[in-house]
Amino acid sequence: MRQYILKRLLQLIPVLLGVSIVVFLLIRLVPGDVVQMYVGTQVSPTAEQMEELKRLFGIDKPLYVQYLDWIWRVMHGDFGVSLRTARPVLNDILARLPVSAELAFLSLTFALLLGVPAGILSALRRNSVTDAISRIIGIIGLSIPDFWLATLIILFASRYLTVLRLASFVSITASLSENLKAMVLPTIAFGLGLAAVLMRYVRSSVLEVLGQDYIRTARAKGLAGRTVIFKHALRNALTPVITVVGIYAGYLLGGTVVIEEVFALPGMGRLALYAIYQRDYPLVQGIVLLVTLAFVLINLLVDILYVLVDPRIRYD
Amino acid sequence: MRKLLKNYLSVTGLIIIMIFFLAQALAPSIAPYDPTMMEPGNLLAPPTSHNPLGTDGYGRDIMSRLLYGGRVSFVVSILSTLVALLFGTATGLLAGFFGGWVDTVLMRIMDIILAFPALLLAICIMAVLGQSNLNIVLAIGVVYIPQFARLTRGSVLAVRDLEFVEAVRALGARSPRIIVRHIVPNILPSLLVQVSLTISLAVLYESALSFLGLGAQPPTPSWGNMLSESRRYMELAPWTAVAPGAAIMLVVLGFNLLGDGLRDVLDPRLRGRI
Repeated sequence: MRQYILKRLLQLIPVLLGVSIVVFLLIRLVPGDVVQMYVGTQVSPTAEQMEELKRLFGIDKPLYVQYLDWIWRVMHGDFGVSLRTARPVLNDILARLPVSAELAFLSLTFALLLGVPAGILSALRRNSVTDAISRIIGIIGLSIPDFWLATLIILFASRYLTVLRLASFVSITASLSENLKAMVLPTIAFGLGLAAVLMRYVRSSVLEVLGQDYIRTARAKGLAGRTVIFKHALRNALTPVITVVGIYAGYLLGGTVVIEEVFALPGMGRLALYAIYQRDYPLVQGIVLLVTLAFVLINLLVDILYVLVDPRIRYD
Repeated sequence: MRKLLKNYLSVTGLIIIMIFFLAQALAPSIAPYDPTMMEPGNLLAPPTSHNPLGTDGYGRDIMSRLLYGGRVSFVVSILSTLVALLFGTATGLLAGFFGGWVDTVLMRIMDIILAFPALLLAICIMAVLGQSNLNIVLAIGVVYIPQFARLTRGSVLAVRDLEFVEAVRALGARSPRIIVRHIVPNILPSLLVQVSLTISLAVLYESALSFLGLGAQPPTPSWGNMLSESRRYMELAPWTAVAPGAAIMLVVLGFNLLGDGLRDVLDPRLRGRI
């Protein structure tokens, strides 16, 4: 086990190195000069001031030195300053992080609570009306764009659920109930697609397990149907769900951009969008780096968890 | 093929796709109006015989905009899937067939692309490259290269050491010939399924990007930017928000159904998987 974790950590090194190079190049590949962008068109600084600014941004040195400088500073928690506000980027991101994390967490919980039971039910009543309905809802849920679903939900709520529609965002530390009121609609809009994915996956996974020999054996030795399903089938069928959640962590982390925009939530995704609109590249860089790091770490955790939960898997 | 036609889900999918495909291809002759023509006296009109789907906030006919908007969605998502297919398959073939350091280097690059959340990566590529239809194709295409690369590599590894490949090699066939004649046909079915599912995701991402203002720019209609514009007055005129979203959903549904059906028919081992 320890060896496996060590191996996975070693495998992360080239990926993280690559990610950091891509994110670093992001800012250099942009047409135009960062300093020029910072200065804007209203003022024309002297040549000396330009040199000074270039030194401040560290772009007077060769590219690889710039990269090493940047990565060194990032590792010490210095993500640079915003081109718009001149404030440290990291502070602004961390201030917005809890909103996105909460949205992702609530949506995942919602998706699990809805998708897993629906998938199990669908599999146990294979080819029944319940199965047909949940499969149809499943594939529609997979196809519906989340920003349209969000728009429809807002439209519906503005007529019939005005309390929820008018709830404006309140930080979770200020008032939990007010905060949750504002999060209900975004959570449904964001979680429904994932619930559909989970439902489809759980359904096929349960069906596969029910066809296995050991299930037949358990039935043959006279165990009650309920015992077979709960003790033997579900445990094995649901383990791979962990992996699916890991894969869709990317959707939960990246999709916040759209949902936060539609519901006007002050999260990290919306910050990223505005940073892009305003060409605030250090801010974009910081967000992308942090979100990607989170995604990589979640996947590492998922892999480790999977080995812990399923004793059949031995990687070492 | 006959089996595919018997699979009613994939037939439904195929019909939906064909209807939308024809609708956008024939847009100039079947659209009732010019999609950018504004009628200042006829703003936010509900659906009538004059405007079958109503008009938007500038008095433009939604039906016409929907038909033309479909062009962006179709062209961009099919081209971006082609980009992903070509580069992904080539990468997977090279990695799987040659193994060793070629494999290691190529697959680590794929890991790096996969490390980014997909939508975020596409948004960033758009931010760096700037807004144009070609750039959307690249942004969405790049995101899906690893999926094709991994799929192809896996299949190549499974096929590479089978006896028939050994036999062809013993007969003196060179690597490119083995790849093209003997390995590619074997992985074609799984690629076809992946293509269909990738197009459906590409339609979603294209519309998400133009919804966020990073895709097709107004006044050129696209389903995403129509939906985005409709948010300003949707509480007054809900039809402006319903039509473009429903179009996106139906096309995505079409490709998902087709993909599911293809998988059931072509790849029985995977039947019923996501």
